[in-house]
Amino acid sequence: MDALNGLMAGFEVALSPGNLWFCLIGVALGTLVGVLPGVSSLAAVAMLLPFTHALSATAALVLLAGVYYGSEYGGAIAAILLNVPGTPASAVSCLDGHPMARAGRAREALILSAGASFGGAVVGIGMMLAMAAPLAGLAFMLGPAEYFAIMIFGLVCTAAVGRGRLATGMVAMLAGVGLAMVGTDAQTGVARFTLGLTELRDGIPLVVLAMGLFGVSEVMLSMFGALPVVRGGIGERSALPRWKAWCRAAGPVLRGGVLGGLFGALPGTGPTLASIAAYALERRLSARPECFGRGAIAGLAAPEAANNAAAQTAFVPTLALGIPGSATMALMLGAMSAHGVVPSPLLAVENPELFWGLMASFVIGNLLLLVLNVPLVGVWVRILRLPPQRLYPLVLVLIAVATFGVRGSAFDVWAALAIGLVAYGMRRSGVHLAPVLIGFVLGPLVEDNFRRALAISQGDFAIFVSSPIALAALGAVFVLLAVAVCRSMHSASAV
Amino acid sequence: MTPTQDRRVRGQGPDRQARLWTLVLLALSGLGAWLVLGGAALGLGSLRRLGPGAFPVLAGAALLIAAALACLRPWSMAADDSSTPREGDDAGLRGVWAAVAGLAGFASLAPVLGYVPAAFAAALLASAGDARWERRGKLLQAVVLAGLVAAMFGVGLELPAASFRNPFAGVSWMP
Repeated sequence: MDALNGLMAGFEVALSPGNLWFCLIGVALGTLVGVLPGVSSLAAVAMLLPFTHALSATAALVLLAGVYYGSEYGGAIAAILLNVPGTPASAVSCLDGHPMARAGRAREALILSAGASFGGAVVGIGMMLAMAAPLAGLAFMLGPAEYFAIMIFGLVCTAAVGRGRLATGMVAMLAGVGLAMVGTDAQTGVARFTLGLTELRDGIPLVVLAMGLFGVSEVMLSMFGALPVVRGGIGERSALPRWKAWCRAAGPVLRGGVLGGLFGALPGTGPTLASIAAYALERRLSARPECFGRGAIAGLAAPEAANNAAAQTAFVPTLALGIPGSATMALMLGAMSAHGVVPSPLLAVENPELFWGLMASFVIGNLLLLVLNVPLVGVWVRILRLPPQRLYPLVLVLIAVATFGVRGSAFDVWAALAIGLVAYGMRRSGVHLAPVLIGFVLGPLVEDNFRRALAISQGDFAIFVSSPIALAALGAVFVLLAVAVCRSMHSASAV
Repeated sequence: MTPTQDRRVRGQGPDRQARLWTLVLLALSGLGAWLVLGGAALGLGSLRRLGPGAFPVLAGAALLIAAALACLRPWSMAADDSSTPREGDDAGLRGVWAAVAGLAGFASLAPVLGYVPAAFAAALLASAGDARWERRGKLLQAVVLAGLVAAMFGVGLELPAASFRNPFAGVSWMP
């Protein structure tokens, strides 16, 4: 009941003209970013980050969150029409969405995917509301040792659960932690690893790192790549989905939404794994699994619902514990700290305007996305016809100006370029970059809690295993590492 | 992808990937060693009160260990969708040069001429390597992008930096 009252109060905040406007801008921009293959929501959020400093914390998060979940909607459009996923999470939607489009059912596939995305998002929002009260109960049980253990769990999840081998994930994550050490030590005021440069006294700005890692390296990889260009339309004779199709999609949407909601709340998993798991589940449950990959409605609806539900519940660990489950959530955490918002299980009590306003904006944003996606399908198709080579100079210029805009310093642009070159090398050699950014954001928090816990215990390491929460988190880390090592050894011996 | 391109990508992919991986590991091991040595120089403190160098030493040592473990099977890196040769990979380093030229041009010119002329130069430099497009089209795109940057960042977002600067008269213009 409290959650419903909070949500009602949140609607007052989210429906204020300013917040509504930022929500609309965010979801429209997110859809655009999702539609265009090769332009990630992460780069868009990073570009917008410096310009949200002038906004209120609520407006800033409403805008950035809109870009994030809007891109999940848009990603499906490129996946269905081009067989090129606009976002990693919509890759699974290619499997059945594109065959539907090729069979002349593009309009049906696009509208079903928008409906499934909306359904999944509603399930995800419902799960978030259900989680709010139990999380608040956690607040008084968490001290520095517990936070340290939970953050280590988040870091290891990111490194071990993501794509690629465990060691490469760990290298990437620890590189991020190492880069976060640059700057002035908050506890002693000592300048660390600044190379005598005044520009590095405040550390490497988050935007500069994100731009270099995801923006610059993406331009380097894709600028002259022959990305496919959409030909033809969505089919004038393509029919709208019938009632029967919606009925067939309802079950997969519900199951995908619940599964995605659970995946989203876990650090390191996120929308991509959620959509894969939902697809696998539907295929297993289906009476006709041979139809999957040939335009099955359940094969499109379930992953779309799952990735949108996960995009919503991914905010739970970020808002409540300060643990970002993905690189985009790491940027959200950066935006929160730039506005002086401290993540806490009590955020809904301490900052109800922000928490419930954001929740309500998710509902409004998803409704806006439904409005943007269904009637404007033709507009998105026209945008998809733009040759991608024309787009990358624009992306590069936006990266340069947004990076320069952080502090009005050309040093930051050079730094983004240097980071981009290393990131290019990492991507070409198969290293997933999200752990770098998450390590960078969590590194200083892990250090702070580690030092505070040891100070409280007078240097006794037993503090890290003395509470059930810390013990459970560190135990989970151990299990996760053991499983990942076994998996790596098994796959190595199979080669 | 044509058969020639396919052969070229297949032939170069794993070698290039392994060489790049070795370079990346070396660079990141260097970062780890720097953290260990620099952290030790900053002071480790005691267990009751850790010094500013203690955590960097731990992080650097962990990075070195992880890099050493990752070295064990560098040739069998799990390929994911970002490493698998994609259509267009035969474009080689053209994208890298375009990005380097665009960003270096912007970073060099922005403090001297302001960010709007720098954006114009960056757009022009970034599209210079695109042989599939006429010079006039590239110029037009650069002008449109510079106008967009001036409107969006200068007027709309009121970026606190000089949009235009006259380096000879020492005059700058900020909306």
